[in-house]
Amino acid sequence: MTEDIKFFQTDNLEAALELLVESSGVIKPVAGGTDLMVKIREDRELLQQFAGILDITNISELQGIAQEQDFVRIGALVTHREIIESELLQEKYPALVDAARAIGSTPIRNRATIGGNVCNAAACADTLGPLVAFEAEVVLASQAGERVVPVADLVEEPYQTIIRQDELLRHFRLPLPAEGTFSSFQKIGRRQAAAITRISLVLAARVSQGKVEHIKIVPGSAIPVPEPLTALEKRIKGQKIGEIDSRELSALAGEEMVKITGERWSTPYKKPALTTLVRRALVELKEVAENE
Amino acid sequence: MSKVKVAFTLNDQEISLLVQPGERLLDTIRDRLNLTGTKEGCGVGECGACTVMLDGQAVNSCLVLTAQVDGREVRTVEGLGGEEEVDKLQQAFIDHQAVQCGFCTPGMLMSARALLNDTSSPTREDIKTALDGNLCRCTGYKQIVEAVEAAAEAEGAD
Amino acid sequence: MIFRNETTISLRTEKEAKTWFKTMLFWSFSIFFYSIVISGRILALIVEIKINKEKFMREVFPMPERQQINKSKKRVDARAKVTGKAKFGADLKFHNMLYGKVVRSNYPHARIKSINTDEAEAHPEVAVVMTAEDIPHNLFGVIIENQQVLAEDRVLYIGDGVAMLAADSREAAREAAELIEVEYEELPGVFGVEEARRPDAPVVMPGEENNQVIHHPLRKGDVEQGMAQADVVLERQYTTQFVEHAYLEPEAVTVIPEERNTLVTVYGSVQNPNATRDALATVLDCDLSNVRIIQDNMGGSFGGKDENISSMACRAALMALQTGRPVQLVNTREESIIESYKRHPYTMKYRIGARENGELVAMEIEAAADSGAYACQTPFVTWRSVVQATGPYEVPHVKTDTYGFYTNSPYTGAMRGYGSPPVIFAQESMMDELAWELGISPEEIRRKNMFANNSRTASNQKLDNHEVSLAEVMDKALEAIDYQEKYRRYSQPQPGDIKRGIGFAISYRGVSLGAEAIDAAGAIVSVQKDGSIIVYSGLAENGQGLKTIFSQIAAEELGVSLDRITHMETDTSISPESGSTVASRSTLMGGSAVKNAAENIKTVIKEFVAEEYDYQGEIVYRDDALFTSEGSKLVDFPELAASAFHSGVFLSSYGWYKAPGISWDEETGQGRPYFTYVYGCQAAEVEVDTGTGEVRVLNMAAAHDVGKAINPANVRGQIYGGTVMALGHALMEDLGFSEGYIRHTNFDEYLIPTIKDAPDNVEAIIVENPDPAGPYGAKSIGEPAMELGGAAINNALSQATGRRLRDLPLNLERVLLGRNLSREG
Ligand SMILES: Cc1cc2nc3c(=O)[nH]c(=O)nc-3n(C[C@H](O)[C@H](O)[C@H](O)COP(=O)(O)OP(=O)(O)OC[C@H]3O[C@@H](n4cnc5c(N)ncnc54)[C@H](O)[C@@H]3O)c2cc1C
Ligand code: FES
Ligand code: FES
Repeated sequence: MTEDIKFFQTDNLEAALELLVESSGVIKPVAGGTDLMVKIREDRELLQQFAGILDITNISELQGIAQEQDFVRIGALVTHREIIESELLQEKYPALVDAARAIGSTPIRNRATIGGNVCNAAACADTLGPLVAFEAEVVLASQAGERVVPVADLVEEPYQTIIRQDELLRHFRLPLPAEGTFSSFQKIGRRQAAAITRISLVLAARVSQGKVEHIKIVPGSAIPVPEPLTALEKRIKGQKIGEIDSRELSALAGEEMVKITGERWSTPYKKPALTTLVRRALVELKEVAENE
Repeated sequence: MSKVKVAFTLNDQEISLLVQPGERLLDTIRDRLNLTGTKEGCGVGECGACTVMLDGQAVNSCLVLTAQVDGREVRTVEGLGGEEEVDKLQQAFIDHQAVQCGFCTPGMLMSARALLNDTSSPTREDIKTALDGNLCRCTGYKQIVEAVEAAAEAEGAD
Repeated sequence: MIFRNETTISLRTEKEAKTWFKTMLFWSFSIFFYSIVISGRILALIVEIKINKEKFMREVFPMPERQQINKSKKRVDARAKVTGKAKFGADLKFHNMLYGKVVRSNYPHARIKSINTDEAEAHPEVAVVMTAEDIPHNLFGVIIENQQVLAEDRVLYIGDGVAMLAADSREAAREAAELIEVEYEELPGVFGVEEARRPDAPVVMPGEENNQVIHHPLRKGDVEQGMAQADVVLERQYTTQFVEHAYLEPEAVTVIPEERNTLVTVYGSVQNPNATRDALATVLDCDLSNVRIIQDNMGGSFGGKDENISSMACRAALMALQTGRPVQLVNTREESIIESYKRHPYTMKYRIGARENGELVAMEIEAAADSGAYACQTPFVTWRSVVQATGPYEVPHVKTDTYGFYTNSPYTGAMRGYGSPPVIFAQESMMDELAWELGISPEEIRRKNMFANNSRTASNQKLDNHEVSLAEVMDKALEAIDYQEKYRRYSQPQPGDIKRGIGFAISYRGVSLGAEAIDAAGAIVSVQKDGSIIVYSGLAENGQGLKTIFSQIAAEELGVSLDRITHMETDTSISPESGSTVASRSTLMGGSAVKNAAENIKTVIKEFVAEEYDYQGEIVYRDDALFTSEGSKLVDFPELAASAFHSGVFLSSYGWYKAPGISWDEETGQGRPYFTYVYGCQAAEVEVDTGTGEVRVLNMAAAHDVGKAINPANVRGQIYGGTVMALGHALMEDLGFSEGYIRHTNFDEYLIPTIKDAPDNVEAIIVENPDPAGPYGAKSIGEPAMELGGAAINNALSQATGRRLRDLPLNLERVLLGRNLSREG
């Protein structure tokens, strides 16, 4: 062992934040460790860049799921397992729950956190899509105080967020969805479990009096940072649900994706696959709306 | 070098040790504590050979820092069975030919044990989900699923 | 891979390999005649097989009340494995042990300009650093001796070792390895068989004239004349990918220098202890008797812990002898995937001619295998391909050529199925294509052409010494999966994106080594004075359950309970050299040897009982005691053991089994390549999402004629494991190769099936037509279980989509687009 680094553990948020500022070098927070440990193994030199590792898993301010006035708070330390088991989330944000269910494997879901998933900010991070679709915000805490940022603005590029060295992601705030909001999550991987997302799609929408009043369509692993397909959303918003041509509209999704990413080696696959996912999400939306 | 003091419960015994800050729970268990039942197959959380129970839940010990388990409870394959030499789950693995080379077996057992402690009558789908992080190259999984089903039934009968 | 009765056979060129092949064949042939003499009774009965199968069965297999055979006994090693007590290679620790580390090439092909080890040597915890310069005998190899322990002046593939060291801790070893500086001059590489066989291709292997490792021709009839008779001629090309064994346990060996009376003792996950011993004796330039290999539990092998383990053992041994300290080498998963040999990728060109009614008239096949940087087992792997390439069909005119070529990719060697899965994939896919073309069903075309008793194979071998059970396995598998109904249903138009299909494949497979090498195996059964029994076998447990099977056989013969038997680890200084545990030969070859040893003991017991208990009749062994033929008890087994011991009677014996004869003409591929065959049929039902390219295998049915199942639960386990492994090859396994580099070096990218990828149900159907050659009629199952799944799944997929894919794996891109995509374009 050459790494001369320190290990810190605290259950006190203030103390943690103080440590992040006080230390002479970079203090790396660790939650479930499922991303960090893999990275350290790949690149031992990474450890040398840290002055210390800070275990944040005992900080109670970062834990738990709770409903507040007009949003639901999800602590950064909430594990994917806790998301799956939460009745509140199942009821309000089914697409988020389904995304959590599709992550890794049972031992990973037992340990990996939603905060870690977002902070790591891989292009294939499965919770990012639903969080963006539900217009979630993050609360970032530092000694300087808190700032609130939409998840959609958090990721600059894959593996790069605007979270500062002295900040911890404290929790997420998900606006309460309006009554009758429909949401779905679909994921394609190369196998049935523990599969990196090849491409995914979240659709969240509300149909009111036969019209699409609100719609968010966010692909995952298709574009570098999670963002909605706004052009497509614009086309759909306000349309009569019965008049939605899911085949035609879904083709636009593929084109919008290519506009964002340009042609890549994987485009010949991802374009038709995304088209399929969008088509299916729209068909399901129509079915659900028509049954109501 | 700044070693970290950790104290935790391992297979019902209190232990306390000094470890490296970057030390993996897997290495502590295998190298420091000589419990070699827990295996390493990939080191990146994909194979499940290193699965142990942490506070009752299955986790990949290759992805856990030992320093993080301070004050927690860890159980390895050596800690199954308790007073008996083998518990009903282990016996079911023997009876149902769920073991071939046996390298995945300790991890499989830990994942299955965590499931059975939580759920007394798991469905086949529950079992598959609980074991979806444990790769096995030998058995094709079928006899493993059968063993877990049989164990659930046997334990339910108690 | 090979059994050798001389200490070392070292070959460096294809020509030498061929000469050696011929010598082997001469020996095999001699043994053939010898065996005719010794197995007169069997042969006489074989003649009878045609007259009266039932009488034959009664006589050879009287099948009295068996206590151990054909019973799903629990595995003898299961208890140790579920408690975590079973030791695997990396679990061992020895006093004063050093941890080794190997520095590997950064390039698929490069000249080593210089290696600077100064800094590593200066590391306080490092005990030794070595390069090829320090190794006087740097080459080893099972068939052709051209694999380097460490690369001398050129690295031939990305996994070649260039330097190694050992240190007091694993961390220090890793750290010091990073201090070794190697300067390379990158050289253009040769990738893929197409490139390798070009006349102007750079020569990969020093000392060779071109890149060809081997060529096996087979000629029967006149293929052009056959094609001329055909109403339809189909020509297709199929390819398969490099496949990683992906045993869950990465390779591990520990070498102890000068322990007891040996020069080196090796512990570890060694699939073929004798092959590893050969390599060590060559590299250390010492007698075989000075090298002792003791096998630990194997965390899976599937053919994959042979040459790479030999290489590791040589490296660890050199460092152990240099330092006088035990040295352990354990691979990380990445090291394992980068360095270990793979399954050969094949490029296969098939031309098949058939009459309108589906009758096959001619096949012309060319199958080229990528051997990678070393010869390894390519000569034998491609030999199995040449025998099986036409499938289990009668074809009057055949021309087959199989080849192996050196390239700068990872070397390729033995993997479950050996040379058969690729050719079965191509050939059984072709059969469906042909059926489609002719407008008949896949079932009909197979029934019309497949082998029956007395059929002649492409090698012109008459299948007349065992039951040719293709129709039976096919009927049973198809019935179990409800094939006809589903085939009919899925042939109708299916609305929506989700489509289902059903398909199957059949095969015949030569049992054991065949004309690859001399085929014999040995075992020791030793009765202790308290009636407990120790078994040693030359063939080795690979996790497949060999110890349990052999214990069952010994227990059956001596009428004792299984817990009286202790099956020891294979130990090369004790266990009789038996060739390799490959080719699904353990039960037939090793089982027969155990049986023979027990029979020898019974001969001694019979004499002893006549004297001591005054009984001359047949002795019945059961319930831990000896009985007269009338059923009265003579003596309890432990008491017998004690009294024999005290009377100076020796109740231990070697057992030996030599396979029946075979023959092979190297120029024409005609003869009797194997002494018997097994037959199998696997069917798969798949669901494909035509909107995304996702494929799920819903159900599989696998019917295999195993001769006799010594342990049915074990046989089923082999079938379940084999089908799921085949599913992995078919749908997802991909090393992400590009120009000799491997991108997918761990299980996050090299995907193998999880529990959720396994079919909802696999119906394992054991078919039993006891074979005169095997113990109690038993043959084999390990490899047959995995050779059919790829073709069955591909055929099911084609039925579902109406489109034929010809390249593995059938990944998302291929299924959705009909072609693969890669980063390199
Ligand atoms: C086998 C395997 C399978 C996986 N499968 C998937 C999958 O299917 N889909 C998917 O999306 N991901 C997957 N992942 C990735 C990973 O599990 C998730 O991204 C996980 O949610 C990360 O959470 P963690 O708590 O383990 O993060 P950690 O590894 O603890 O942390 C990740 C990063 O975030 C930082 N961080 C963590 N918490 C905070 C905080 N509160 N404030 C500031 N910074 C913080 C850390 O410093 C670190 O840089 C997989 C990983 C593995 C090993
Ligand atoms: S070693 Fe931990 S999951 Fe493979
Ligand atoms: S039994 Fe060998 S990996 Fe599961």
